[in-house]
Amino acid sequence: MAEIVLDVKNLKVNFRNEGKEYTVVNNISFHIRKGETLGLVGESGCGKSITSLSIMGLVPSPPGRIVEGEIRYNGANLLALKEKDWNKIRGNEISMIFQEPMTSLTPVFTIGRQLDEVIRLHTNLSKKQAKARSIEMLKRVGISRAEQIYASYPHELSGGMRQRVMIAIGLACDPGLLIADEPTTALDVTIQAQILDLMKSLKAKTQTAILFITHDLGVVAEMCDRVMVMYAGEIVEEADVDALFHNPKHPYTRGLLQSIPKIEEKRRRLYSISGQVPAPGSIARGCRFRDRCPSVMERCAKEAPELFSIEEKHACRCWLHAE
Amino acid sequence: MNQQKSPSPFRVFLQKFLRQRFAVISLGLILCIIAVALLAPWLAPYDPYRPVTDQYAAKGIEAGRLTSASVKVEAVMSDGTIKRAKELGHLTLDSADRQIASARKAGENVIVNANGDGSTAILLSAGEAASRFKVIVSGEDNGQAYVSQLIADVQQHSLELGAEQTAKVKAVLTDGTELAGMNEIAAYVEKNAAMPAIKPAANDGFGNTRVTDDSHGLTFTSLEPDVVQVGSDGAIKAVGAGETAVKVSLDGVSTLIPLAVNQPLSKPIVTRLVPEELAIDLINRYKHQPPSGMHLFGTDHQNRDIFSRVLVGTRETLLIGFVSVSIGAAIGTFLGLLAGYYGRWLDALIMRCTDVLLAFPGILLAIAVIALLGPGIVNIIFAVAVFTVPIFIRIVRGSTLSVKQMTYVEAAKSIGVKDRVILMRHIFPGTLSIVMVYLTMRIGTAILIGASLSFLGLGGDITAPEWGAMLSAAKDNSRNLFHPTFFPGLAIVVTVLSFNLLGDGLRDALDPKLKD
Amino acid sequence: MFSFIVRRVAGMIPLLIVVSIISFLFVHLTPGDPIRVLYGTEISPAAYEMLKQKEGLNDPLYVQYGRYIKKIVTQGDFGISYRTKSNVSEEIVRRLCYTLVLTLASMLWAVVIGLAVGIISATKRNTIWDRLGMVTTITALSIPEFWFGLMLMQIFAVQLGWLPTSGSGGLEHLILPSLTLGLGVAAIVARFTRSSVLDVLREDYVRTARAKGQRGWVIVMTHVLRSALIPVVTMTGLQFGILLGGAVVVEQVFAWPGLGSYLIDSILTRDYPVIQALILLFSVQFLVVNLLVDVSYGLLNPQIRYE
Repeated sequence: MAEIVLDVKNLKVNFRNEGKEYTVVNNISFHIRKGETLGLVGESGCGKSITSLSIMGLVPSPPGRIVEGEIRYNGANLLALKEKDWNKIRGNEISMIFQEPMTSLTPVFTIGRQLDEVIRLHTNLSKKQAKARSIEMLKRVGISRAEQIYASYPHELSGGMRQRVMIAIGLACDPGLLIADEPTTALDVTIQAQILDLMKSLKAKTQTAILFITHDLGVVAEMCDRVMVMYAGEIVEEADVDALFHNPKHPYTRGLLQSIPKIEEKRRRLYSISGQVPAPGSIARGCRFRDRCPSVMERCAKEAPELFSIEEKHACRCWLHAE
Repeated sequence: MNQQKSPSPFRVFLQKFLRQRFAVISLGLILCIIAVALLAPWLAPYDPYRPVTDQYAAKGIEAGRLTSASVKVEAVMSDGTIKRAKELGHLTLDSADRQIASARKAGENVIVNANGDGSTAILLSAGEAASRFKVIVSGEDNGQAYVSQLIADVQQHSLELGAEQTAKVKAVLTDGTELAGMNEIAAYVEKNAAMPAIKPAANDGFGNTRVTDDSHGLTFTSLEPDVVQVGSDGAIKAVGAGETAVKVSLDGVSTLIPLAVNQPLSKPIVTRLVPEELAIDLINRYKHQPPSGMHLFGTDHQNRDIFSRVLVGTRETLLIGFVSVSIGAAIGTFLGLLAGYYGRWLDALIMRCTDVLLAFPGILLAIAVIALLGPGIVNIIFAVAVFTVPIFIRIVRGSTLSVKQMTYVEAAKSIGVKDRVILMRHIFPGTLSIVMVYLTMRIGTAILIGASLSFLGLGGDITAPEWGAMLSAAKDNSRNLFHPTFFPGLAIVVTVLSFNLLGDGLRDALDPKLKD
Repeated sequence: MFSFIVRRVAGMIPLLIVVSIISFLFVHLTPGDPIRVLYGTEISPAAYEMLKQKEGLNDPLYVQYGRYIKKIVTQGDFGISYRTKSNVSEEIVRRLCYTLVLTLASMLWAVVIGLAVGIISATKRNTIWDRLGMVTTITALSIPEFWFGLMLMQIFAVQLGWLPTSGSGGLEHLILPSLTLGLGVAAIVARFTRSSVLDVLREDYVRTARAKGQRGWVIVMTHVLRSALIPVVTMTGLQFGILLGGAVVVEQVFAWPGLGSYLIDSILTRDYPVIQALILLFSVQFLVVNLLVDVSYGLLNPQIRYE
């Protein structure tokens, strides 16, 4: 088995709003191995993005604050780093692709300048060499007119092109871990497929581990080796991608899978999970999903379930599976 | 029934407004300022138009108290006792500059009277002993330290014939410095001799006939050279029996060292005079009195009470602000509504006129209007109004254009409501909030512009108690005097700041999106 | 780009014509007979008529206007001052440099102070520095320039004696007047910079830059400032009018021998040919600067094209 690249233990992140502190990410633990793609699935606001920003050390602070936990990258605890050392990790060891390709590039700088920036920050390449490397990266992400794009401004590019540029920036320094935060959500379906194909082929070439964040289970099935499902700041289920799709355990995961419209079924109404995600801080004890759970029990209101291990590599946070 | 009452827009606004601490405080301040403007004639302690000196009698204030001070003078006798001034029969007083201050004897004290601004020194002398103190009038300290007293002593006052000793001399300056020993005194003398500016003051006399350049240095004179002889370095030698004294003098100030040869000292003599204070401060009551309990902000160049003038000036200043902005806003809003609502050629015409007005940068538009109409307070109001018009046209036009798109306006149009009614009933109220915000902010600006115009002397009447005019009148003396410019300016800052903060608060409460 | 400039200049011409007509009318709408003012009140009626004919005052107004503009454009001739009987242009040329130096120096203060305060306030948002900065700027906007000038003069020239009180000469004479004049614009620049930088700091691309491992202040100085400064430059340029107007006041306070004090002296002595020339000159300066600002906006922002 490949070595563990990233190991997150008991991560807890609080946000402060109007004088009160809310826990938005609660006690999350997971790991990613070299070459592995881990999917992180959940509704918007469940804490996925904050989890990823924690790994990058970019939780907006204030109002955010990492209360406890450990994030180990190749064995070193990132949370103990000073800002100066963080900057050696970011973009170099761990890089990130964001959801919005339209706004994630600085509009007043050329693509080339933004690519050169990350390369020159983490390598000793000269200006000329950095430019050569940038153009090589642009070609690698499937941009044919690389020299021309190098000199272009972001507003001259389409969304798909910009996301390719973002991927090029992300992979420019051969990171050990790439965090992709909903990289295809803002794109058209056809472009989405192209970008996913690109990421897959790049993944096959490099040994970069990927943390793939999405709310789209279809994308997960295509991209990931392993999946974690998050709900209201907690991991509710964790399994290999096949196990999760064929044998979902948590009622929330089941609900998510059921709500994917299937072409062969002709239902009058699409399935949806009733109710809404609880606001942070609104649940003091018990299971966070109980208000929306079809199989809620008395016990759910009193005690919060742990993440129970069901089989090897399959865990679920539900009293139904407490053996 | 689920009857959820949504709060009225006004209450929402009020809640948001009350949350802005600065804005609420400034609203309170503005109300106070308006109250002051209305009540100024009753609040003002003095008539702002007349010199305060003319008003003292009516108010039962003894004016003399302000401009004179009494200084106690004591004489140190050779036997160490202290004598009061009245026991000295022949105390004479001499002012270096009677234009500034003069002194006379009254009982055991010396009364000093201020006559004009500046600083000078008064020399006290009794017999051969003389001391000096400094008088500063209206705070106009020339920064010079005069020699105030000399203290000289010897080891023994009764000498054998032929005995020698050296006198020890210490000089006290009016700023309190002590110069101990010959060397320090010599250094002081040399330094002062190098400063020609001091010489006239010293040569002016102090009533001393022996003023020569030499007399600036320390001199020793034996009153009876037959008894003791003294050298220029203070070396004393007893040469004959008898009783005498050595006079030590520096720059008009002198002290005596009593000496007796082959006999004891008989009667005590006056060795030196000690004024109670080395320097006294007086004010000149005829103009530019500094701030004091009686005149909180002092008085101006015509000796008018600045505090009263600031209070009364509130009215004129607010008047310029309110009236000019009201006129400007009314015209601007009207034209803006027309331009925005009717569009086409009317819009084009009005906007081109606005462009022309805006082509004159900043305050220059107002200055140009004054140049055309001539100086005067009414013209200032008019000029500031003209300055305000284009800004309101632009804002109201923009706001009208967006309100015009609203469904309720189209609905009113479709059922045949007259344009005039739509404008007044439906569109104007929609633009009101932004007009209110700008109205408040522009009042601050208008007060600034009005004050600037007055300051430039374009207000016509420079004697009027208006803050800008007061500053204009005071600026020629601003180099030496702080208070005539400081307080009216501070009044402007406080008023304008209040309006600006209130405008900021209104804007945030009405529509946070309007920010900047 | 070139065609954009040409179109902007062409759009400015009607405005210039109206402004010049207004300034031309100054002499004709205001009291005072130019012949009697220039040649004395004692001249005979015959001589008076002859002079009037010679000066072209009997021609219709539009002919006089045409001649006035032609003289300005071809010879730079603004006429004769009533007060000094000398050529207005010469005096203007002598003083123009002073006013330009003063306004440029003030702009320098305004930009340096304004940017620094604005950037610090934005990056340290909601801290004591931010609050202090914002309270200071709104206070600065409420201070009359002339009073601020007098206070600076009192502190730095009279009390401390570090700088000369007034007049012109070396660089030390420029410090107080330019600081006084620059204060208000500095406050405007600071507030505008703050809000502009705050807007940009919220942008996704700032997060991208951080994710690349770039240091915080480098991000602020490059990615953030480059974007945030585009509106700031435009807005700052438009404040030039405030500086020109303010120069009139500040020059009076510090006895600075520029165009502003010339204007006030002329207004107080009703020297209309000078007023006329200066009003025209000030607004032309202002319009030209606005044009330059528009053009520079295009140069700074790659997203703008002139089609």
